[in-house]
Amino acid sequence: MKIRRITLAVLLLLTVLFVADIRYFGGPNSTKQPSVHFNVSPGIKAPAVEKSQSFVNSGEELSSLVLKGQRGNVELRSTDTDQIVVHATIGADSEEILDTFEVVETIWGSEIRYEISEGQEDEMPEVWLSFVVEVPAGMEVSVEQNFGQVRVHNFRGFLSLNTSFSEVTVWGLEGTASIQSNFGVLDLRQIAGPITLNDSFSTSKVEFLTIDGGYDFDIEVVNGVLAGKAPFQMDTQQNNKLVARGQSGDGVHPVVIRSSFGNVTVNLKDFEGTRVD
Amino acid sequence: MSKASNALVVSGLRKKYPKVEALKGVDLSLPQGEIWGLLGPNGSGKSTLLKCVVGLVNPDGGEISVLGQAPSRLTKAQIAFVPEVENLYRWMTIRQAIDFTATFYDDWQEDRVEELLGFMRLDPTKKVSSLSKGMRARLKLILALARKAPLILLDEPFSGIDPASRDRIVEGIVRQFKSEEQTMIISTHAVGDTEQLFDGVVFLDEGTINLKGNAEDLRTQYGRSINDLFKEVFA
Amino acid sequence: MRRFLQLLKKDLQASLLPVGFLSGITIILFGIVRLKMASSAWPMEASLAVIAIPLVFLPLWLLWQSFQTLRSEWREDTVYTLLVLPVPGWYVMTAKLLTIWIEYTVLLAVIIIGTLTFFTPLVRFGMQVVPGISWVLRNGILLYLGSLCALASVVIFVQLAFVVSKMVGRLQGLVALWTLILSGWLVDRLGVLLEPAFRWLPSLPLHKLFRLEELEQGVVAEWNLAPEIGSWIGVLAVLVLTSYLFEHYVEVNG
Repeated sequence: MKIRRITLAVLLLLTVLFVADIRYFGGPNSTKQPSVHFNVSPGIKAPAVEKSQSFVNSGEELSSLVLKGQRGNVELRSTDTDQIVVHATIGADSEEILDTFEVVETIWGSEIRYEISEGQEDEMPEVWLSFVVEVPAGMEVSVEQNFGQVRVHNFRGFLSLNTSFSEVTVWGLEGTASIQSNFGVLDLRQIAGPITLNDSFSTSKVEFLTIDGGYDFDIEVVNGVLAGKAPFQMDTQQNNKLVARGQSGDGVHPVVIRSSFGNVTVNLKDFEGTRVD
Repeated sequence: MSKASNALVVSGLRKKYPKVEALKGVDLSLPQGEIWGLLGPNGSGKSTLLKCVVGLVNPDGGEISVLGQAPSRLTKAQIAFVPEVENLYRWMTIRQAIDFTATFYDDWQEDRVEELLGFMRLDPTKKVSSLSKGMRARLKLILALARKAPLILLDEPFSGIDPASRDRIVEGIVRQFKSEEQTMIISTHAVGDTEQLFDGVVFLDEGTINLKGNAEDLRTQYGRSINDLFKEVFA
Repeated sequence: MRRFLQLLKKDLQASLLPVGFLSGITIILFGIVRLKMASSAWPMEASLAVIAIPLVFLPLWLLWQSFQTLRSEWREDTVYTLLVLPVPGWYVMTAKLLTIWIEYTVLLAVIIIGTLTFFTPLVRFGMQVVPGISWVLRNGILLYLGSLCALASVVIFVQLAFVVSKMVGRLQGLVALWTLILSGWLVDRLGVLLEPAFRWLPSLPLHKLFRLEELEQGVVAEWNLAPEIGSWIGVLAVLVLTSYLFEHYVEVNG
């Protein structure tokens, strides 16, 4: 009987701890880092041959630019001129393949679009398409990129990124950003403006600059890790969900982050509060 | 008598099951080199006492000393235990059951096995599942007697078996028991023809010891056989 | 070692019948599907679903078997034999674990050989989308080893649950189930608690281990081992605890 009583007492004690853990800490896996991280390989195979095309357009009547890249790099920056300058580089494994492709420019209303032409073969061979782009400040730019790198510097305007298996770097953004990333690494620094970020299986680091009106943080991370130094309170909910809400200043600019199976770090520069882990 | 010269010393042994207190502070010391009968009706605590000694149940209180040692893996190696229940793997053949048991005990005597198989009239190629209850009881006894274990515990070895098997088991015990090296405790509620085996007897009733002593002394003291004494005590 | 091997042999012999039965059922099932496919009686999707049944069923059966192998010792009173053997408790527990591993391996081999034999065109088709036979073999072995580890943790939890249930008088089924849940939770928490101590460990590059770069450029999958080490220490602790309880505190039916 003695050992039975001890066994039951131990089970009871563990049950109390278990219930307390569920009630106050969100239960198993709530604070556990995901074991497997997906990332992007820096060493993407280089094309054997390349060719370049350049396009220059006046930005006076154009307000929107769409870039559809693949297996390459996209570099984007804002300038004080009103010209849209696009240097495109196509790469392929052979001259024969390279000859069958070119970059197509399409203007439709106020939108200008750059993408690769359709090949002559039924099956699409491996083709690289990289862009180096300068746009007038205040322009709306939409970038689609798979398997590569996207680098945005000192951008002023409306930025939309849709990437997968890519490394995204944004250093300096004044305006609005909407970013979708799957299986990627995002490094967003000196961000000044509202942002919407959706990522899965990605590592995302966002650093905001203090701006007039402040930010309204609305962050949800499912099956992942959320950390940072910004004015939000983290709450653990069921189904491995971390929710963070909070405001800086008047909370004028919304920051909406939805992440699943990823690592998210959000920092507000010069914030004096404590770091959240 | 010191602990070292006793095969088994039990003091203040208590064991409680959810619905019944099986042992209520049993004190007992049994000397080496003898066959002792642990006698009592069903539910008197005989099996529980043996199970405590061999480590099949955990006592709630008290102490046990087997050959001067507290029950452990070492004492398990020194005890040959035959439980009342059918503890043999039914899919094994008799030979497989013997080989299985032999692996675990350094005191195993292979030459004894063949002798015992012949004496107990068992065919080693037969499957355990095909044996009668009496044959299985004899096989269990072989597995215990083939060892040179210092302490042999037999829990109801005659329960529910035919008279022929019982006689053979009794004869087997008499032939194989080495009094200079071994001690045997036989628990039973049917004293009958087996009383000639016992050097001493312990009467256990509802978890307490009623009577304990040398069998011959008790017969002389009470002027009757152990069987008659048993009937009188537990009438 | 001789004693451990004898226990293993005993458990393996006891599992001959169920493993043989399941192997036979699997082969018959594959044969039926093969005939149906040959006569185009079943659509491809239905055939594939039926082929997958043994593989889906296998983990469930192993879970049941890890429970059953201990339960049968009590049900058939052979635990009287097992508990009086002068062997450490881990001999009994690891012999049973090893038996489950071997059962899993045999049944997996039957499923793989059956698939290769009965559905050769299907396998050939599958081979077209993977880099090659060496890639399949390498990753297959790695996945098999990984599955052995996962299976071991489940078996160890079930063993603890069963042993603890035998240490209480009543509601043993409920106690077993609850212990299973609690032990899983406890090991998970241990992983979290010990994670900082193992942060120095480098991540395991799964993409290199599984040669994922041969499938798709740019994919990097890394396994952060830090939280896993604590959990695995917890699983080992559960095995030690179960063995200790089995040797010292577990009882036969009263």
